[in-house]
Amino acid sequence: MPLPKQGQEELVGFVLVVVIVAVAGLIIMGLFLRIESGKQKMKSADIAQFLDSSLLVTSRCHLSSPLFPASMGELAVACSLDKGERCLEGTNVCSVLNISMQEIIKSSWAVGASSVIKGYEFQIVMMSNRTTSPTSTPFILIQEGMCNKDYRLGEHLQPGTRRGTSLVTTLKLCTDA
Amino acid sequence: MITSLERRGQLKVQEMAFVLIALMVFFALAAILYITIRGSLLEQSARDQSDEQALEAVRQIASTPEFTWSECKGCIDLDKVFLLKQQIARDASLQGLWDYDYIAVESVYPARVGGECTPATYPACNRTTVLLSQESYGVAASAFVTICRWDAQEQTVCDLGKLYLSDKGRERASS
Repeated sequence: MPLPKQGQEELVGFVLVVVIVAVAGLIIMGLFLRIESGKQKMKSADIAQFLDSSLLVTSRCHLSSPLFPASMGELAVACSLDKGERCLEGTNVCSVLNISMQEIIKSSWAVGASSVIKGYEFQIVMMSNRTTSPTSTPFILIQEGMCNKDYRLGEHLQPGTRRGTSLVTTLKLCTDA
Repeated sequence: MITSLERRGQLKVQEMAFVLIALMVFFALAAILYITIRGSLLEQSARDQSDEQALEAVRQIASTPEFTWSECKGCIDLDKVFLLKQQIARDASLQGLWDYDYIAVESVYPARVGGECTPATYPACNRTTVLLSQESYGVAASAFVTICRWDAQEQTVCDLGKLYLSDKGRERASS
């Protein structure tokens, strides 16, 4: 019978068009998702350079010698060992590090709702060299402003106090809130 | 006279044409979207590359004997830089030592006031312009550095700073 056959042909054509459009849609969506995930986490050389330089800055805290003030990196090591560690001046090492890093970040990057950088997240984590990702919670965590999915990230690695450990310092500058 | 079969055939051809046009429009839109995204990514990667180049140039300058602080890699000796500035002010021929039109070191943290460093203000100042061979030096590339010096008690003091570099000739060549 000719009529049902025609209907079948039309149906096949319709299904074919739907399949082509769906496949093209999936390809475009995949492309978008790949680009978006790449956009989310962009390693930035200038942030890494900033961390390298700022951890060498002299602090207001003397650790063992009253003659030589400690650097931010040395404070990070001392704080990772003992959160209650105190400077010779009597102030808490971790809080000196926390306050100083906040000041350093604020004087180096323009962070605010009206600027390009909407927020930041600074953290220092002790990482075991055997694992590839930091497992423990950060012992220093400073957050300000809005942090969403788009950010630039810088990382600094320094040897930890215990054998086989490293201190990973990261700064995330969020560009989109 | 057009038979019903011919009319049906015309309708099918029309349907086919519509579907083809719709598909073409769809693929054209997808292609435009793809090209736009690719273009913006290319722009971003070009910007990243130029940032990397600027950073590399700053690292190179920071590691030259005239700038480097011997006790840490990549740190700048502010005393040396200030002396170099004075040396260049006395002898203009020294300006040709670097392929740059502008080299300056600025203190970022701790915040200092006092503007340009002079023999009268040093070290209570926040900017040392080592080289300024042209009045207009274009857009300077910058990178964070650690600037160290000896203080009055002969203790090492390291601040966070920025090193600025500009080379108009190189900018012209790259543009």
